[in-house]
Amino acid sequence: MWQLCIGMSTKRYTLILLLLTVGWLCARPSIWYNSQVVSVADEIEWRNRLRVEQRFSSGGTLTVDDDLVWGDAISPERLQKLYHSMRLSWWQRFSHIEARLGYRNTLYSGGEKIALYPVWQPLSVYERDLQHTGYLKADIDFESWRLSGYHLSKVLSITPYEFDLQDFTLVRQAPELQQDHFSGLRATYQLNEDIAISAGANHKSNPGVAGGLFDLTTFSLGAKQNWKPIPLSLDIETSLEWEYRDGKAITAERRNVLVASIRLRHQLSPEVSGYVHYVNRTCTDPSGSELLLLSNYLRGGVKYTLPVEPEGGSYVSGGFVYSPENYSNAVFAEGQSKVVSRIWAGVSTMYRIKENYKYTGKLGWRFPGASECHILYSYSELMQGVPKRSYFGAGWTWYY
Amino acid sequence: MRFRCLLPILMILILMLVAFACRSSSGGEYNVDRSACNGCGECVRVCPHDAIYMDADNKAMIDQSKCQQCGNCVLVCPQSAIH
Repeated sequence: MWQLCIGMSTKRYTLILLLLTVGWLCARPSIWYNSQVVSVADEIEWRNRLRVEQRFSSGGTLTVDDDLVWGDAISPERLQKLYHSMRLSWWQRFSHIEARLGYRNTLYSGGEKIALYPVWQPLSVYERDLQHTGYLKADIDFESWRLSGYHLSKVLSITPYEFDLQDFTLVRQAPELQQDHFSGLRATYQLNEDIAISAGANHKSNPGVAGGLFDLTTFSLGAKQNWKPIPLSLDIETSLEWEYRDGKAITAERRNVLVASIRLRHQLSPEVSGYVHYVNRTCTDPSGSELLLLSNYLRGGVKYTLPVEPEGGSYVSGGFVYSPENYSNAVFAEGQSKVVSRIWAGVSTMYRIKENYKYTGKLGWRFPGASECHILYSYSELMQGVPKRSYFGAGWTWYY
Repeated sequence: MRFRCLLPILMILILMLVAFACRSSSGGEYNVDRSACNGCGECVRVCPHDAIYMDADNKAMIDQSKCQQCGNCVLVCPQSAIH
């Protein structure tokens, strides 16, 4: 693991360390760290998540997120041995403007070779090496108007491989850069307290790919209503949006898409809350004369907070997802409760009908200030035909 | 007030009509329920076509021009937020 990290880029890790040190010295930030080591049969997986957040008196917030996942083998759940993503984000609110500026650096190492142009050039594959992502997003409120704009650029360095039909081997090619640039603008007008209408445009360009295969332009018109029949208790949100897409990779049927959604949230009592969310996506046939169903998505859930501790950390929750067109029907449940003193236990289950399942049990110890350490056991089947995974893990979360 | 009540009911009726009266499209597409996404990045790690990225709000976004509808992201999402 250490050799792998050193081999990647000492400069990169020095930069991360420097940024964290500067953040630490500037002020007293809030720090959250979670680390988990999991043993799966003869494999070991190590997951680390770090979040450092600092709020400044000027109204800005600086956030550093670090996410490192390392395994000693590639698994169906992770296409590379090392995934390390570090994000630096600045959020600022002025009187009428809210802006977010950020940079993300993602390192992939020891990865599976993946398809470069899966549709029309199956003999080319590539390894992802390092990805730089920069973004800027701003919302401007002016009386009844809201103007939103964003730009996000991804630059991924890749090592391509081409299949040699004479030797039946993959031949390494010179490293390349693959770029994706996303931009968008949206104007929203608040008609009254509840109803807003909006219009927007998005453009994505993928320079360097022959013929602009992955370029995409979308235009959209929408309306949204947020109605609160019982303030702070019952909230109903409905929206309807029409989207027109123009791009070579988009099939003729998916050029015009109508997205309708309704969401209901209800706080039934101080302990019980629930929600229902339904989204319907419909497109048109190429001639535009007939509506075609793309997908339905119905999601619901209920949460009951157990009156065991004042912080509300003990609860049971359950829910379901029904989306038959995309084979993502699932039921899930989760619960955790204080057992005695500082010892707590938790269980969770996710069952995707006809696809996969995962059961997890946790036993932990809480320190003052919400920090904790735990052991866990999980049993899962990712997909049919893939061996079932039974793993033990240990982790800790630290708040500062 | 009456007008406000009518809108959600009308929306539900339209949705039911669209959902049950339409013939299915020959192809599909996957999307992320942004309210359910927790930004864990599992889908980014498993996507074999580099079609998923995290946006400015740290929510997963599917690049529809690159997505080949393999469905791997659906299987690994701990929130069941991809549909």
